[in-house]
Amino acid sequence: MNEEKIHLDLDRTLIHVDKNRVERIENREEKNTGNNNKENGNKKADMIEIWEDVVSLKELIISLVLCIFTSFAGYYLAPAKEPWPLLLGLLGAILGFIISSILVKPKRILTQESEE
Amino acid sequence: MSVSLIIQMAAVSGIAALLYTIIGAAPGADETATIAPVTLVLVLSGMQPPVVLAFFISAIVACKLIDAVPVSVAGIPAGVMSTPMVEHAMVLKNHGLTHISIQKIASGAIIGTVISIPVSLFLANILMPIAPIIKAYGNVVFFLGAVLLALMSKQKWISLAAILPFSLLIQGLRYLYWEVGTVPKGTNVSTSFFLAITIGPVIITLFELLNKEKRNAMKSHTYKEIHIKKEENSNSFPSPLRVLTKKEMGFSALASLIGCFTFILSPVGLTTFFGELFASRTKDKVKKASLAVSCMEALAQSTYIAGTLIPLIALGIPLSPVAIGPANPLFVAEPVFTLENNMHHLLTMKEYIGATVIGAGIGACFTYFVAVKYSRLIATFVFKKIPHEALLGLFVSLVMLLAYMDGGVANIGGVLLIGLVSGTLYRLGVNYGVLFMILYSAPWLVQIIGAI
Repeated sequence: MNEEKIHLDLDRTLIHVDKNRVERIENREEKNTGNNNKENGNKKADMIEIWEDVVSLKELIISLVLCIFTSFAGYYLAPAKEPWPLLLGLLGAILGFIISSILVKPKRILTQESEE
Repeated sequence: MSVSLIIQMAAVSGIAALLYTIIGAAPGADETATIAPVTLVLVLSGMQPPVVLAFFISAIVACKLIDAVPVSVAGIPAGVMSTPMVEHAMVLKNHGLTHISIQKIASGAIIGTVISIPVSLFLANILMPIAPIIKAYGNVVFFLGAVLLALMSKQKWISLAAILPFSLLIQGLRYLYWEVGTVPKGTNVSTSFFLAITIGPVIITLFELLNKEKRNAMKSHTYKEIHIKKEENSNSFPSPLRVLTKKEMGFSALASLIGCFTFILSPVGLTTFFGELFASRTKDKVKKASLAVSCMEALAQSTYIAGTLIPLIALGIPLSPVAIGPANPLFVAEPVFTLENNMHHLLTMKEYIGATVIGAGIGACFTYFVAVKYSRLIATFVFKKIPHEALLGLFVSLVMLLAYMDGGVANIGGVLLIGLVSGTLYRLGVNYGVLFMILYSAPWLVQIIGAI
């Protein structure tokens, strides 16, 4: 559903269509939460605002565990000679960051406004 | 300086510019929390000090300059420093002048960088003779710094009241570690405490998620909405000198100069104060906004550079908000750097100049080009592809790893504890500067208290 919300590089006519679509999606979701629709309701209940952005609780836990695991794995698998443990720990953290970026979709709606 | 050193400096500056062009554009990514841990890792990994300095300078210049993109394109601050600019950038955006806003901010950053480097080097040389006096009273200076910053902050009383309890917490943990044998007696765990303070607000939020009522209260029912102005891609690539009007250039230069002389004060406070002051006399809304953003960016950039270089070259102790914040690992990164043996003691003047010019040159040129030419591409890439979850994962895991290296599993708990307390104090209005100054003056203060 996330892909539907993000729409870029469209020409002006399409933007209006898409703006409507965003509104439609939002309305639908509001109704869904109200109706306790399981699928959409749960997905929304999962979202938390933290550090000026919106995250999903489940996906945040996955990212945290993954990044901590990869950084400590890098640290322990590295040869016991300085500076390898630290360097591989850092690389592990960056690897965790890249994997989480692939697994997790950002919770942002991007809308494009046309010039007036 | 050897050729290989110069090549290394150029290479890490390029990497820093690329990395922080992406991280810097993400919403809410604080400079201290994003730059300090990576710099720390590089210092601890044994990288040559001038190379680390080039990396840091490039990172800070890129991270600051790229603020232009999220602020102008979407009206959201990319960190504490860009918050004051949002209001003015929104005026330009609403007039359909997003690209102008980016160009003005980016050019302001270039002016700030170009002016602050020679002025900072000059000021550092002037300050050098009195440095021994300041250094002899280092502990007292940090304590007075905590008091001074507390008095200057909006929440004076809570900031003052926090000094003693927070220093007891820090020293309490250190004595505990010595007693149970986590670290050898006399070794001060400090880098991981420092990082704990930087991500304190995040740690406290993560703990709140474990409380059901709090978790329910934090629920968000909508995605974060970001509006981007549709705009024709322009093929022109203006030089920073032609973007600004004479007036904007003059005021930006003046703001940069002021930023160098006031390096010891809070950059955010200065940016707001002088940006608003300079812009207040211009009536036309658009002109006022573009003057404000260029001045603010110039001043922010120059306080960052001056706040790093002057304490580093003249003093060797972190005596500015930038030096105790993002630039901290250049001063203290035990066991590699201590207050008695850090970059200040190891670098020659030539190396300072080389590293700064290469770092700032590469960081500024790369990021200016990218910001002006590919602003929309960057904004959409970061907003669409970099999830907030991954950013939080990256920084929390780095802090955990460094905490573990500093003092084992016990210190992971210690870092969480300091994060909880500093995060709470931060929410109550105690700013980072006060907390960092307390961290440095804690051993001295607790000793004095104990003797009474």
